[in-house]
Amino acid sequence: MAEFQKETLGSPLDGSPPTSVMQPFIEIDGVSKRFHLSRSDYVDALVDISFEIYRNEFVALVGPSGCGKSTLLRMIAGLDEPSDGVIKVGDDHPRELIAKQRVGMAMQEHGLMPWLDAVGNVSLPFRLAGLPIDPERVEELLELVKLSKFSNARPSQLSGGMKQRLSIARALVLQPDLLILDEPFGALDAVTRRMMNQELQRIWSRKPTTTVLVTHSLEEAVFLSDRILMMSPNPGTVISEYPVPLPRPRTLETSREKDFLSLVESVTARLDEICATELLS
Amino acid sequence: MNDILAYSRWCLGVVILILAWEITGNRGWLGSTWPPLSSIFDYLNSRPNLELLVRNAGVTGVNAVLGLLFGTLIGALLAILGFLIPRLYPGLSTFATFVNALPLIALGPLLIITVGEGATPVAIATLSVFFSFFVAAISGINQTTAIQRDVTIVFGASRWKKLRFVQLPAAVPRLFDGLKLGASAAVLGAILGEWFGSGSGLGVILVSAMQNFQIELLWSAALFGTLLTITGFVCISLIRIAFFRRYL
Repeated sequence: MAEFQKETLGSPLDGSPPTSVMQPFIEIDGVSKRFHLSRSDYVDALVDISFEIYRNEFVALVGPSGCGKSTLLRMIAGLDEPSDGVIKVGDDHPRELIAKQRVGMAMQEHGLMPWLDAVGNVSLPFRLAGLPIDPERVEELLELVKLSKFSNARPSQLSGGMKQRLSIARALVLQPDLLILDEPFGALDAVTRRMMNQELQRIWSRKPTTTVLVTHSLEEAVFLSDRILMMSPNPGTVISEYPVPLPRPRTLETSREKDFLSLVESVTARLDEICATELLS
Repeated sequence: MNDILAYSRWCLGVVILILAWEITGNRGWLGSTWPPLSSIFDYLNSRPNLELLVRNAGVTGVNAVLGLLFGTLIGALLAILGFLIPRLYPGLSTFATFVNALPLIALGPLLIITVGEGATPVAIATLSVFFSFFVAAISGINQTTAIQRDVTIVFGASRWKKLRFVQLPAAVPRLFDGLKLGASAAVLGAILGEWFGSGSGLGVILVSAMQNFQIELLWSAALFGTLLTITGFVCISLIRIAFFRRYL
């Protein structure tokens, strides 16, 4: 731990950075994941991955399918255990953070409870945590994702985009220290997706929270994150890193600016390169 | 409109069934032990006969309701236990399957000497209900999707909270299916239990009518047994509708 602090204190951003951004929060140290297919056969999904995520930083994990980004995300979320190496979130094992109810999660499949209305679904984390429901907080979140008018609607009565917004509201209701997003807009059409990205960016900028996003869309990664980690498959590992220096708040105009487009282009070029080597090997 | 059509088809089916029964009995196509429906109603038209059947159907009804209640409770408790303590589940499941595999007819004499004649109908009804409810509850509890379960884990829910707020609500439709199956199994179990020498109930009537060749009484008892099952079915369907209107 002491060593870890020294490293970060010695970083060149010691001057006057937004202090909230520069505190390391997630520490991933030599993490590997091996899946056993049968008694003698196995596949190494992830090999020796190490990186840090700072407090209130928004990090996007990108890479070709099968590079293990979802597996890594599941391990950060405490849903899975590494075969080797250590993951620490705020000095704790990810499962301890879960036990403290400090994690929020939204996935491609919304995972809303069909028997609960919007209010019930957003209140669910309170119930599951054994906390008294704070109706004002629930109301505030529904307003934040612009679903106040639908507070008594059930998931089946909502559109795809609304369901995703509702599941993001549910993920944020307990003000988590860590937000896990796995392709939250992956099932939406391109237009809705751009809108949702703008919304998520707006919501996130109001209260920055350490966030790890897995996505296939490089535009989405650049638009939302502070830093992009690119992974390559066979075996899965982090191969490149791209800081995203675009100022916030970002709007749909941002996504047409030159800086944005050139960053998307260079990330895309790198991904294409990885995929090409993958196909040739 | 479709509802009306379906309903009239249903009525037509019942009418055809009644007519077929009546004609078959009237012509004696299936022998003297298959009476026309009208002669059964004639039989029931006398006050003492009707009272006899209503009284005994009442006894069977109470036995069946108690059996449904106990069987559901036991089935639910075992399912919940199996969920809360996953290590217990394989053992519980094997136990339930084993109990269910025992022929109830073989258990009858055993129950008579252990729990007594009076309690045997309820005991057999309970045994016939609990397994179907246990299976329904287990499959209901596992109705949630992997994503719903992951989300529940990440929100830091205890096993009990997970059951209470996610798995049990998700199980409700299956639980009602289990109850519906249980309702008919309970009536059947109660009658079987009474068969073994209870003091009263439709089972007793069935045995004595059979032995004394009282064809009309025998058929009347069968008819009342059917009515009990249908009543149970309808009651549970109504509760289900009311529950879904209120909560879903």
